[in-house]
Amino acid sequence: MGSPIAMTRPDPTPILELRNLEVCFDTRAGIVRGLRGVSFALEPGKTLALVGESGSGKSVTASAVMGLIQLPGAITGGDILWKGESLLGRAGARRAARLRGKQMSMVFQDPMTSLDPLMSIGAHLVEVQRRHLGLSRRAAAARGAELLDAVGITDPARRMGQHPHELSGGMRQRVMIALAIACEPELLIADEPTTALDVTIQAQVLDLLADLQRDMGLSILLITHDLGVVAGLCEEVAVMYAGEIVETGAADDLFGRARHPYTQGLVRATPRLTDRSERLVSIDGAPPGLLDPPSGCAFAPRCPQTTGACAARPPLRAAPGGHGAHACWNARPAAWEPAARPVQKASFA
Amino acid sequence: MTRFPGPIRAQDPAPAPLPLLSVRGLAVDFDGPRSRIWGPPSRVRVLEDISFDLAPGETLGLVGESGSGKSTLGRAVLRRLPLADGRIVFDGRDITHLPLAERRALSRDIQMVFQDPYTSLNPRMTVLELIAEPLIVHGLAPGPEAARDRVAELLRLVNLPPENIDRFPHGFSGGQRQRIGIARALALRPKLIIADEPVSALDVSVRAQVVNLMQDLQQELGISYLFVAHDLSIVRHISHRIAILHRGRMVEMADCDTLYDSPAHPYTSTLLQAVPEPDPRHRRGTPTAPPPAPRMADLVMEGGACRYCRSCPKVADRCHAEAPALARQPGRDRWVACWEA
Repeated sequence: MGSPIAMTRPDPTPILELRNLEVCFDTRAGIVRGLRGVSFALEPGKTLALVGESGSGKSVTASAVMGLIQLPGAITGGDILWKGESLLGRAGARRAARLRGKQMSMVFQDPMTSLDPLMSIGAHLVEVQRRHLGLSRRAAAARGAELLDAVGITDPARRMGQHPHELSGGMRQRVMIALAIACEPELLIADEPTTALDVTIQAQVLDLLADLQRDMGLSILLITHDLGVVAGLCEEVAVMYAGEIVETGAADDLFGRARHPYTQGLVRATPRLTDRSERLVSIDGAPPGLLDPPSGCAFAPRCPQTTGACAARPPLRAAPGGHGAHACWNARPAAWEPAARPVQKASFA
Repeated sequence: MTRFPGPIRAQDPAPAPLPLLSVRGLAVDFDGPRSRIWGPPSRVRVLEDISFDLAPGETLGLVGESGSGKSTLGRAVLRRLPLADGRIVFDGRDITHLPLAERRALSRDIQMVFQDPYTSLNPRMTVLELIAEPLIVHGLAPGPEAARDRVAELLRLVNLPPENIDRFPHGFSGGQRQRIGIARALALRPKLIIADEPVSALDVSVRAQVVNLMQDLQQELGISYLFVAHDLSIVRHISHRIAILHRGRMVEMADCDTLYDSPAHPYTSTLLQAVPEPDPRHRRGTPTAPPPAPRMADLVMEGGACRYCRSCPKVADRCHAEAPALARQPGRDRWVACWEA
């Protein structure tokens, strides 16, 4: 893949930029190619959603940015740039160590397992601020209560003394967000922040993220599998499939005007409240294994409009007449129909 | 769009005479917090006054948030829990008080499909052993080998190639595992399948495959489903009717179109508004303030108030004094438990 695609008008320095990033996992079964050349740029104050199914590489991307790729995984190619400066290599690693947790922070999917059950909520908040901001215990505690208030937790003084098990799932996720914004980061990476929550609580947490972004000028990299969540919060979307980005574009465009057949299928497979039909569109088959990724288009085996050209890997190209880009040789408006009933099935006598 | 001719739709005149499953006034209690360390546990009513009928070949969607009692209701119908009150009639037979041996026999007719296909299949058993297990337990096959033909047939039924019969579950994707789980549930030819969030753990594109498969199987075999889900977007596609549970009570039950087009209970409206809409052309306004999460202590045999009154936008004086019962709206196929509906 060539140069990274700037998703709106080109900005001199994106806050975060990935250039052709490759991550491999050296497992007993062989080398698993988790990321196969991922490029994107996130501008300051914007929200970018990485959308994809399990195994598509969206969480690996987040881990790579946060420096959380551990053996047997390794970054094997490409570059991660923070405001134009690399975070890889020896000098980059020193720079990254200063940034991570402070200028960039992360909210994880499961708030129960990401908080220490033996530490009070206050102790979590104090630890982060003492470590990164060098505050005194007392100052950190006072500011911690303010942070809890800022993320919409009632009675913060009492909550500071409580332990994670005393809070509901939505409250815990708010605490996680308070921890993540404690050092006033410029970039927040949210890895499926609402997946473990009920729909009504999900709506509250998404509202909170939108408010924080507006008030603090945060850039957010949101990782999700839920297209509904994307549409509510994000301006830009990058769709991932089998370790690469197959389509990028404005969130509002993607749903009506997706060009890549995978994105179109994903949109059609998402159930809607307004949809009365009783058959859902489904994408047959399953994503390819990344142990031995296909040399051509990774989606071709499941694609309804494959041609001979699909034997070669399509590059991410800017779409003609509009912004956004897609990696497909035959991109055209939607080609998906609801799955027909199978003609003949085994009898069940 | 293909219109899938479901067996019973609300618009059909005179639905089937005899329900397959009939639940009346069901209540379930759990042990709650103790007032003193060695004192007796308090009783928490986790399900109260649940009544519904399920016709043969019908799907009833059970929707509620975590803690609403939807999974507990599934287990109560399977008779895996002591009932505090109420009556369950299955296939014309009262199963409210069943001795253990007969409860086991009941599982031939009522089977379950679980949420997580990664933990619900024993990783040390082959597909053959997994699917043959219910047949062996119920004495229909002496061992896995004797059931090989039957298992291959079941695999074909759920659209899995029968060549996979001797493989272990770890080699399958989430969607394929859930098909194995469904094949296992179908092995005894049940009349009712309780599906506890069967697609929540699956990816979007695969979810549709499994939901479509379940519809095909229903069409072919006439099975009834109790389909448990935590949000309203997927249940519309599979259910004929939907029941909304809130903190152990059924607050609304209606056929799909009625429920989605004109929700009668304020909680149903809140749930509908909370589902994020992916398509910007259909975007609704921002959701109203959702209810705070239920807490165990709040559920302890609280008095007569409606359990939704603290979060309800339409709350009136009466709601604090008396809980509304689930009642049929005059002239409609819709039940609502709300004074203000």
